[in-house]
Amino acid sequence: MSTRAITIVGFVVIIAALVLLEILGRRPSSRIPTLGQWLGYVMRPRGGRALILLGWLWLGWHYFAR
Amino acid sequence: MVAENAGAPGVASVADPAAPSQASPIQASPIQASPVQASPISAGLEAEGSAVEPRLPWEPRLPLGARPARNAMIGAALVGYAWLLAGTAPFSTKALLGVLLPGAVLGAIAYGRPPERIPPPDAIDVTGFSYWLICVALLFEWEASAVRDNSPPSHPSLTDLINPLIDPHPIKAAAIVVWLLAGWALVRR
Repeated sequence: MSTRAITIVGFVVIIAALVLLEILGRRPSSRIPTLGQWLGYVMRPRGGRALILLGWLWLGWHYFAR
Repeated sequence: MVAENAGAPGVASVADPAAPSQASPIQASPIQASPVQASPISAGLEAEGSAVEPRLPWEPRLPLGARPARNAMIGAALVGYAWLLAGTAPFSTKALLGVLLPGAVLGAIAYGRPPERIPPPDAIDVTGFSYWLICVALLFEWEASAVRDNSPPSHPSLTDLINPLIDPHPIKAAAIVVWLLAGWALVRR
């Protein structure tokens, strides 16, 4: 297996794990928060809100303006 | 940002003395939503003795599909904007402004005239949250290791893998629509 394939598999595994966490978090009485829940929690203070929104803006700049 | 909650080991909470759940020593669920508050509309209906159930905070004000003309116009505007932005040249001023404009609009909405927000949980389970943190840290680490090596073909970064996928105009426009909708979803959090 080439190093390129290993790198791609690594990304796929990590992203699949994130999707799995979201699915597990949506089960009733799950202790794992969903993406929306922990983002909402992090965005409670104004600083956290600004940080997350800046991250969203950076993502757009990175993929759509560059 | 996160403090241990004496009432429930392993449950983190924001230090907010006004939060009702902080006053209660019992925490029924690892993830607790803010107390449900009926809107003025539903409260008024209750006061009149109506049998209408109070609307939960995360439920839309109007049923899905309401105001179809307005939704169609907003959707068309979003798609049109995304189509134009997807057609701009990389590293151009137009592309930069095309990204900054929605950011400025959403920032102004978020801080100036915030929409009805989905109430965040008062506390989240530290262990459950740590799984997310581990995966996100792994993703950043995997990406950083590729970026550090200048993203060679043998060890590409996620950006270099994704960019060719979103290169076709329609797919890039669709990705921009998803990005814009994600921004709106964040503003409502």
